[in-house]
Amino acid sequence: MKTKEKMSISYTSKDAVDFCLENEFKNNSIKFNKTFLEKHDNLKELELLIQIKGCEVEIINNICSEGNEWKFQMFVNFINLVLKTYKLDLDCKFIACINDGVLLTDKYTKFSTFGRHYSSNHIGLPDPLVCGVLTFGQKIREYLSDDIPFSEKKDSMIFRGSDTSKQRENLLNQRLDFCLKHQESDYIDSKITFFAHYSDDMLLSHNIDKDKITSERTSSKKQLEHKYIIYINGNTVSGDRMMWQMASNSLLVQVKPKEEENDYIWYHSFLNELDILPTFEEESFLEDFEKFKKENDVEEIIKKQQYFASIILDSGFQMLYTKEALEKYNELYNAG
Amino acid sequence: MLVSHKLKFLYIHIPKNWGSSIYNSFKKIDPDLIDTHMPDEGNLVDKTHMLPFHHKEYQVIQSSIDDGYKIFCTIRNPEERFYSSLKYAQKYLGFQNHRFFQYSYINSIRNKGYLQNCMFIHGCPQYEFIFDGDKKITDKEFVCDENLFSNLSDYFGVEVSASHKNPSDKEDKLTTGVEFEDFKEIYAKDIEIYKELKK
Repeated sequence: MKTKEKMSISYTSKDAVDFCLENEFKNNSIKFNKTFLEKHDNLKELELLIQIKGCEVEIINNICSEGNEWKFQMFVNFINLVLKTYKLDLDCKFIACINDGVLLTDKYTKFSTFGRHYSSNHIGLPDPLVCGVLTFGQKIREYLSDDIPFSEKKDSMIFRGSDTSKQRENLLNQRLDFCLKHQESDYIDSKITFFAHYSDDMLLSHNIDKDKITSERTSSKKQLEHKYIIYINGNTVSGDRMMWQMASNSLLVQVKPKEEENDYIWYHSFLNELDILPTFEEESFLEDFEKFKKENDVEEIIKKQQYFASIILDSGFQMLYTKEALEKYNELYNAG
Repeated sequence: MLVSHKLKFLYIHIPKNWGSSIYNSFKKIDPDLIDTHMPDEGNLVDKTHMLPFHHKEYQVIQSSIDDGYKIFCTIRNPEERFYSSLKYAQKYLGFQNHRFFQYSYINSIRNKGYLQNCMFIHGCPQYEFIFDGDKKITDKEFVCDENLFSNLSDYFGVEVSASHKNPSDKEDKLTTGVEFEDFKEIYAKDIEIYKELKK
């Protein structure tokens, strides 16, 4: 494996696959899955129990609320595509969670297409929605069609997102707390675009002036007018949002999640290793960011983010990663 | 790929290496010059710019090799060619003029995407066209520079004149926002070959 120093923009897709897999499989209980899955019948919402024989996929069981069947279909189609493309010959069962976050308390290793807590023993897989929409559907082209050079952007920061984040002791969450803290800022424009969890009454009970932290949906074009875009975890990790924003000529910076909010997606270990997503503590966000700006060549980091996004959003790369993850799982599953 | 029975040569057409000029120039000397410029087959093979492992599949190519025709190619400054291929990707392959898409294209080159899909062949390193494994298949390489056509004239013993002036790619570098320096390890062998020829 190449050292971090070499990994500016000189790593290959294979380097990234190797690194991600090594980290994803670091903690797992796959060798116990064979016995466990023989009689396991306790799936949660948007989980599937899948059996692979040769390169054929069979869904043995699933829990799917009405209207979400297409999500299962996309996932199974993607797995099928990988199995057929690489002519894999596997013999295993696994649980795949395609819901927004798999529980940390699950002891038996599952595949997860969304984020899960960094300390969990689950294995991340590419989300076929991200792959399908951004990559195969070329949505990324739409996002970036109105992008402008960094030098022409406004020297300001923007955050847009829904009110989804893990609930905190104060009954709010990181996104809300951040928007509240910076609601009067001239430099940081942080707003919630959709309230899915917090009712007006709940906000009122916290003395929150909803109008001050609310905005209409903001187009990618409008967001890309800012030099800096702020990323804050939602329910887990917003893999698609993170990717198109990293692909842009703006710099993506993250508000550091607290321990219990620190979820990872399948490429997260590599992302962290490369140090390409500047991350700042919530409490001292702006001060730390200003210091960072003075000490770093921001445009160089943008190049690194763009290169990273170009690797992750490559459909061939996502298929290669999935192929290797399935093979590794199969090996551990049968070795047990 | 050009085949001339009159001058008994096979020209390995490495993309972005002034191949159209070579074609136009030799066409004036040999009206029967064969150009394998044909549509590709399901995006698998670009017959204009064939890699050595495809040669045996095409009789006109393989027989010229078997008959001992002179095999030559043109080699271009790798940095210039890099920008030229990016410009091509932008103009003809739909890669938008944005660094992310240019990186995506370069990733495909780095991952040898040209072996699966000929849309990436224009960025394929030059050495891949002239080496079949460890075996070099060309008898002679010419540098794409101001002396190219006089050197060709000397080699073939006929007057080969340039059909048109090849555009400078200096401006291409300015519009891409991508640095060759960041990706030159992909073209390390090309740089060696080019330097050796320039000597």
